[in-house]
Amino acid sequence: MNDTPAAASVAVLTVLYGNAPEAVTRTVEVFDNAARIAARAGLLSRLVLAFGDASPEPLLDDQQVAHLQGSTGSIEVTYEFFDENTGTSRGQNRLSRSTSSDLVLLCNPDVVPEGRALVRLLETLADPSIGLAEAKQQPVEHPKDYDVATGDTSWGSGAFSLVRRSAFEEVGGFDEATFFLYCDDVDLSWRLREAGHRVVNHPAAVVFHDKDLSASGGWVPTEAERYYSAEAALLLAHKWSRDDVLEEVLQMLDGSREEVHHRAVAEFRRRLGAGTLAPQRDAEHVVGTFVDGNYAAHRFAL
Amino acid sequence: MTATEPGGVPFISVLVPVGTVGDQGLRETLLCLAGQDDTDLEVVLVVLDDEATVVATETVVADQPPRISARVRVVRTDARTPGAVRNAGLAHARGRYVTVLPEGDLVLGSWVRAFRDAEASASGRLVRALGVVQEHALVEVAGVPSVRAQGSPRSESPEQFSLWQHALEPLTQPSAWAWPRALVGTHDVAYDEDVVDDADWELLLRLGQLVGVVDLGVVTSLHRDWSGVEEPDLKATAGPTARDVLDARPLLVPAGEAGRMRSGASPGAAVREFVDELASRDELIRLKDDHIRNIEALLEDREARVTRLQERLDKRTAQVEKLRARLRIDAPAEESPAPGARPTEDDRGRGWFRR
Repeated sequence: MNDTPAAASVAVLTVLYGNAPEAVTRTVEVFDNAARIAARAGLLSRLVLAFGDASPEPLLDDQQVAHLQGSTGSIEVTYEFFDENTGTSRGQNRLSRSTSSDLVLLCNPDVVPEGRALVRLLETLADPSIGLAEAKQQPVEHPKDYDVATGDTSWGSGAFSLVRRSAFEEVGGFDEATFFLYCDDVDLSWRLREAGHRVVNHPAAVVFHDKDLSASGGWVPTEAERYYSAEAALLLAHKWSRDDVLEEVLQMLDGSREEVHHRAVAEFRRRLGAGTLAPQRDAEHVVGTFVDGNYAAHRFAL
Repeated sequence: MTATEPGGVPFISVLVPVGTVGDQGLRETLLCLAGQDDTDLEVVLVVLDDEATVVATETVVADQPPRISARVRVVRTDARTPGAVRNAGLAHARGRYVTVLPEGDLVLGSWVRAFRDAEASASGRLVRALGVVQEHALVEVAGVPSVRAQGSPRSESPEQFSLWQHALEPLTQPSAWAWPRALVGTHDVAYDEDVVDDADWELLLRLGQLVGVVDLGVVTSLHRDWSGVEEPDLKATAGPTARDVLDARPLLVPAGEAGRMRSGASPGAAVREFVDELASRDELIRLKDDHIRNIEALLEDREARVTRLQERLDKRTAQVEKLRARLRIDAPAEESPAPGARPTEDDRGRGWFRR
């Protein structure tokens, strides 16, 4: 049984926010290349690169969009100015509704796929038990563990994951009411797994997603990453019925010296008071995985 | 983002010796170049002249987006030492600066930009960023050859370059530094083709003394330490190691290094520290040996005690059996309790059943 056509259609969902036009040009070029290779391999029938612009002002004018559309031979490019800051979850839900395809590719605008990355993920999704296949990010590989024999993992990153559209729609896409930026992908992955779809990592599908490293080799998060990852940690622990983890995280953030952490806690308590938190699920803790502050067991510290 | 038009003189020539870790490693290295903020570069892939490697390399190049494929040249060579392989690529280099990016190594998006930002103030000196090192392995995931990180990235490079420190060991990975190609013409600079192992280390020391080093102080590269990848057999190649070459030549260090050597760990101090460390480990091993001997003695003692107890138990069991035999002769057989019988609550009758 195989419900993925030999040549599948793909909609790439990419939300822009303040990106340089050159970065958008690069994205078009590298997807044009990846699509050319996938089409030649007989795996891709059509690829639409759908940009949704959540910036305060449009990043591209009509002429620039027309230039981008004219620069490709293997893909179609669409551009929509959202006129609101949607974040990734609402923005990608919106783009998924405005496109039609067999598969949706969740993609950050600053990600560069290797020429064969799309081929590898399309091959992976030929297995109907798999709902989401994520690529390996470099230069700094994510430390979350995966099964070396099968690729199965706890969650797949929204930076670059190919998702079966039927599965994406079955679980209602991203939970945009709860998550703005971070952990929307963790939550999506867990709901896909809850619905019986496998989530796999495919390390031979590689994408470049730049990071800063400290002199000692540690990851250097930005302020936005620190705020939204703290807020999402609280929302995720609540939603996935881990009150013990929630209590622990609240205590840690309350005791933190970082102002962004206090803001995250305040926002969580505001939602709690307003009764707008997501309903709890996975009471038996079958799917949600919380290990040492992470959402999967990690192979190494970063 | 900055780029030189293909065909123009690029800022930097990136020499990539190919054929050491396989084409997936090369793909990942070239991907990092596609992700550069500044693509004012050219890539010289130096491929050992065997047909399989050449074909695999050409396939990888054909999969590159135009921003990279237009900047790649493939140079075939039958050179066997690392220095000769690098010189084969250097002969085709056109950039103002030259660096070596080993196949499989990764660089951050700011790698080229950081070198270029330093070009004007470097005034012909070598430019040096920081690199981190991470263990990796070649694995098969769902049947497909892949690369998997095995441990945390770790820093091995001192933030400030020091010739004497680098004379001790290669602390700066090849992709973390770049040198002005003009030195090829002005000082006849090339990689040492006799060195059988680390030609980059030898050149770094030579150029560090010749033109000096400008430190950038930022991490821009990630060197992969491979587990399970066969190291080349150096014994099969005749020639000196980089260490042999460095040991045979004087080391001229700039002002400030003597102070660092006195205040920090000078080579002598490093050796002393090493000897102390060895002594401390010897002591630790001796203590552990003693501990093992103590445990073995304790175990022997306990085993003897168990044997003695077992013997006593056997004697007692034999005595009990004799007594039981006598009882069976002297006393009538006891009745079995009826179903539903319950024990008495009287201590004197405990163990007996009543109806």
